[in-house]
Amino acid sequence: MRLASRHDFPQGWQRHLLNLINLRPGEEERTLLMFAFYTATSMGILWLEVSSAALFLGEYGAATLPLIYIFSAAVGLGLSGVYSWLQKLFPLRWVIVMIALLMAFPILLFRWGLTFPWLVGSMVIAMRLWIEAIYSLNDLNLSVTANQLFNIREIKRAFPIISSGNLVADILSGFSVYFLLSVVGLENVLLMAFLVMVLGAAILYYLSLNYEHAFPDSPRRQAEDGESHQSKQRLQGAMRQYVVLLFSFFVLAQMLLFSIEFQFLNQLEIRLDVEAIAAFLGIFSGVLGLIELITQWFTSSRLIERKGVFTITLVLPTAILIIGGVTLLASYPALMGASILFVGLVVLKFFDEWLRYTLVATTRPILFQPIPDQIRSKVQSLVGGIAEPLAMGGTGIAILLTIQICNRLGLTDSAAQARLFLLGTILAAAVWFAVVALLRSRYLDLLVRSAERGLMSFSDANLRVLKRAFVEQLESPGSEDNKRSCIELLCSIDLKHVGEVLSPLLTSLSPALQRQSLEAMLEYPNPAFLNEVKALAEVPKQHPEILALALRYTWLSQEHHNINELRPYLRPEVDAVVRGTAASLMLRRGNSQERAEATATLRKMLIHHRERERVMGCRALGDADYMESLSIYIDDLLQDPSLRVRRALLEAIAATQFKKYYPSLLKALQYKSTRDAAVHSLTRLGNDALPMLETLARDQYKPEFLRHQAWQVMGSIGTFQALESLVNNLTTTWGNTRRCILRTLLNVYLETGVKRSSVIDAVLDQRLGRQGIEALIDTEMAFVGQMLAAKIDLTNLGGTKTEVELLQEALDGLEHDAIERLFMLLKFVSPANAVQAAQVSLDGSTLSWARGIEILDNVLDITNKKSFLIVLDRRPEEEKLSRLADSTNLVTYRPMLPNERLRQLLDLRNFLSDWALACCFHLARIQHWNLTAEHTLAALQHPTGFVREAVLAYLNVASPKALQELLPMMSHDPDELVEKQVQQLIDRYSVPLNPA
Amino acid sequence: MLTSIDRLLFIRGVPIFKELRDDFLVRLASVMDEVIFETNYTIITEGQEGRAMYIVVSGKVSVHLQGQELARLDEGACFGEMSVFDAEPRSASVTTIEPCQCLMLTQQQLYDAIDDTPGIAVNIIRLLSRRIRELNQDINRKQQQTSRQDSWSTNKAAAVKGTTHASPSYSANPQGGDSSIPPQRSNGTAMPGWDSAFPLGNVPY
Repeated sequence: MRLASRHDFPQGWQRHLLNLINLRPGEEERTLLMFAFYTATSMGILWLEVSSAALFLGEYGAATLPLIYIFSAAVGLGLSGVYSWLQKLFPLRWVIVMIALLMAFPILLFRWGLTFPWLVGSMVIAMRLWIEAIYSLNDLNLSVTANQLFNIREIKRAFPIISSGNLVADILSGFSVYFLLSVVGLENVLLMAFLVMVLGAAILYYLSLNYEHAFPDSPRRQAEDGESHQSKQRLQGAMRQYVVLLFSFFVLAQMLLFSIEFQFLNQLEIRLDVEAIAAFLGIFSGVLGLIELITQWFTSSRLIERKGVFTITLVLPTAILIIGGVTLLASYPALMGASILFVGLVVLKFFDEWLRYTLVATTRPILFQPIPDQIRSKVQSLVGGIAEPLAMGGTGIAILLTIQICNRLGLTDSAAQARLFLLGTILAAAVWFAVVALLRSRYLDLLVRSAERGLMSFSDANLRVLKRAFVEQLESPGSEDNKRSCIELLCSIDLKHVGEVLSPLLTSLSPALQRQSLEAMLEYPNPAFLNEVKALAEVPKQHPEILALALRYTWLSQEHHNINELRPYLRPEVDAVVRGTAASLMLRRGNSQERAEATATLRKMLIHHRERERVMGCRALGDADYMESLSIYIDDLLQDPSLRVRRALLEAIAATQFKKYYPSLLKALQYKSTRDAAVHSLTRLGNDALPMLETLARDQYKPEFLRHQAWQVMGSIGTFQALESLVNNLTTTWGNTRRCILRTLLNVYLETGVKRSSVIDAVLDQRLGRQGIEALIDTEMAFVGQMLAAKIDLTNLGGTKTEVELLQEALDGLEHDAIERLFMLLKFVSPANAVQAAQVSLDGSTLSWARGIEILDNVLDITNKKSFLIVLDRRPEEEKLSRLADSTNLVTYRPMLPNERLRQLLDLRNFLSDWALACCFHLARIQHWNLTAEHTLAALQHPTGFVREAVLAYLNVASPKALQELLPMMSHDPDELVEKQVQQLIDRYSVPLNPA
Repeated sequence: MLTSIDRLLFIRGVPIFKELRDDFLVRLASVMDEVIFETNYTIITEGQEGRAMYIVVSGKVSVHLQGQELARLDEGACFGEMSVFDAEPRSASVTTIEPCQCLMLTQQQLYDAIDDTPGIAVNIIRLLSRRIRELNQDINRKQQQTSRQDSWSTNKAAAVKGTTHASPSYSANPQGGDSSIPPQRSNGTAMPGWDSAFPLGNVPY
């Protein structure tokens, strides 16, 4: 068995390159291969498109395009159905390659068909139909494969790179078409398209072989079950309206795309001949692709960040409205005439494609953001799988109907029809514009709501827009709870600038909200808001808590002050909270005489008989930043009968960073009553608390519960250093400690919404990485192998059964624990919900267990997935172990004699639980097996009492002489049972306690 | 003095701890107190509040209610288990018949152990839930029997005029019998079942 080792990260230029393209070690090969596959397939499709467009326009003209749209929609939907059906018949890794080949092979048929003049017509139609249908199929194949190869975090980094393969293909195929046309001819470009698509399929085949573990072994049957309950959730109210608007948005976007394409090709057909069309389209898509690539890589995301999602989304409808309007106006005979329609539509097509595949494509995932995670993917697939193909068919029908109506009305002039279509496009763009505006208002509303429920992460959301929405909520009459949530969210989003939003509203808020706002603003006091805060302090009969906060804010934010203004607040009749605050401020800002005055006031408070006085005194100490002169009272106050006082004091120790009393904070972790205050105080200390927390957590002689508390506090500190320390310890600890660290890290990692740590991903990526997690998974699996081997070798022993059974059960427990840790580790690299669903299913009936295995087979993409599934198999242990040994080199099994196996188990003592270790000694005692001195001495120093007790009992049988030498050293054992046992043994052997 | 293993084997016999893993139980076992009682010593008294459970390690005790003996418990039996979860008055008294050695677990010791190992609580909750489900099934079964008897009686009454039947009432007794009579082993001794000294009855959780 090998220990988890830190992954060796690449150095030098490789590291710089990975940083530049924002990838992590281990992701580069998959990303590059996927990029190559997508580029190759897209190039093939684009060559096919350019050739087919030219042939189609030459053969049938653009007027037939609407029919193509209608049939393509049907074929597209049909192919999606074929995709799902194939997944049920074959393993997914075959299906992706089959689909890639399925897209390519009909091209050979087209090429063959084109050689027979009587077949050319139908071949050209079939080609066009095929093109429109395989566009979406190619994207579907890409996203399915990418989702298998990358986990959620990886895909965010890798997918933008992979998807830009489409743009690269645009450039390569676009510019090469002209050259290819002149060298090989239009029809032979089809063969080139076929070859390059087969190359894409070959890359995919290589991927499916090399990353076999990332794909499920069996055909898909119940993989969706893990999430099926989520999809049953129904959309209601505002969310429903939003989803309807979102559907309208994408349907209109798609309709405009095809409408503009139809008009563009129509104009090409009128103005150019077939060869010229192909050459023109090639150069057009090449230039377009180049500009799209530059926009996508360098501008898109920055523009969205700067201008907001909706401003950017409105750019395309606005562009269509302007270009379409100008073209329409200019096309009237009185102005420039119909010839301008060609130029106008080329420009319109150019802008439409450019903005659509850059800006609109980047906003797409953000628009889905307010939809809850559980149903988001379903809505996304509905939009992509149904709404968009239907929009294509709908556009075809709309165009056909328009042409029919025009013909009926006698409007047969092509220029007039073109103007009518353009007018329709402009109207559709206007409706699209209105839908975007409506989406914006619903988007904000939903964003605020989902943020209130902690359902949303703000990584992609437009913070400025969101802030504005919070201010509107705070200003409008509404429930106090909503406003409280708004303030909390504002603090979570941008604590530093919270004053800008809250200070103008201060006087209009309720006292509770005023208090909450002032507390938030006090984190970053700013003199700019002094007037608003002073206005609060000057309100007659102001609530003491608010007055104290306002006073504190005023004094902390202004540089020049008159200390005499504080004196009136030191009088005994003033409320304790105000008095304490005034004293702490005087202690902080005053000269020595004023400090003495403040110290006297605080001293009286700290020794006052009333609890409130003492609590406020302690709180004031925390605010004072200067505790030395009053530190003589701390020892007494730590023993104060009032829990409130003790808690306030713990917080004061943390606030003033009074190092001398840090041990008191750790001690307070032990007791239920002071634990919360201690956790809060230690968390407040941040990185300063890390060394002592780590020392406590690693000290195996401290109570396990206290050590676990220390790990958890490190998790709640949540800084890069804290999480880094947890990750570092994860690789060097074992058993319950590792489980506790994993739980702590998982809590941080799986947090959703505004509370989610922004550094956890960076820590995991930089300090552990996917390979680090897989190394930990491997060690756990190797450990399971060891436990299985021990259970097999230690069965059927003669003599008393109790000790054998106890050890067997302890080993069962260790195996169970290791599997639990494996599931925890898997949640870092696979969808946590699915892993959780699978874990729960595995405990149920045979059917439910099979469903659990099925889910895991589908969602896991770890290298040793097969071995993990064997570990979970409900098979006899011998069979399980032999299959495990066959499937991975992590586990090897060589039958051993029971006593040899026990000694080998003791070699692994650091990985065993204390109880399993004790059971080993009990079994050795009963069976009279010899153990080494190293094993015995190591276990004799074990922190757990019952382990030492077991060793002593073993030595009593195996080596009484050695025991007699050891007994005097153990006569004061901290464990009561061991101490009594030692005493009995001392009496029995008459061992002198102080040998002369 | 009992070793950790001895203690573990005793505590494994307590029904509410049966499903817990040994590595949890051994921790619980090691904090238990060993107590020795003389003959005729009343360990718990009916009506008094109690916050500890006991396991008989050696000797014999008598469970009695208002002077009437309900059961005799010997080695391995336990009594008062529910009182580690609540502080309801004891429903019967327990007195030693001969010198007795017992293991005692107080509420505080159990709570501290749960604090250290929350898995203990989860297992106990699982077991209590199963018990409640079994009780409900028991009640349902009995209600069905009662309704069958009632319909049979009604039919009979229709045949024999003037005869009436009162429908019996049932308590939620885990053993399914009369709550005042503890379950018996085949040899006549009380079965160390669910808090045999204090039948579950309507104990509030």
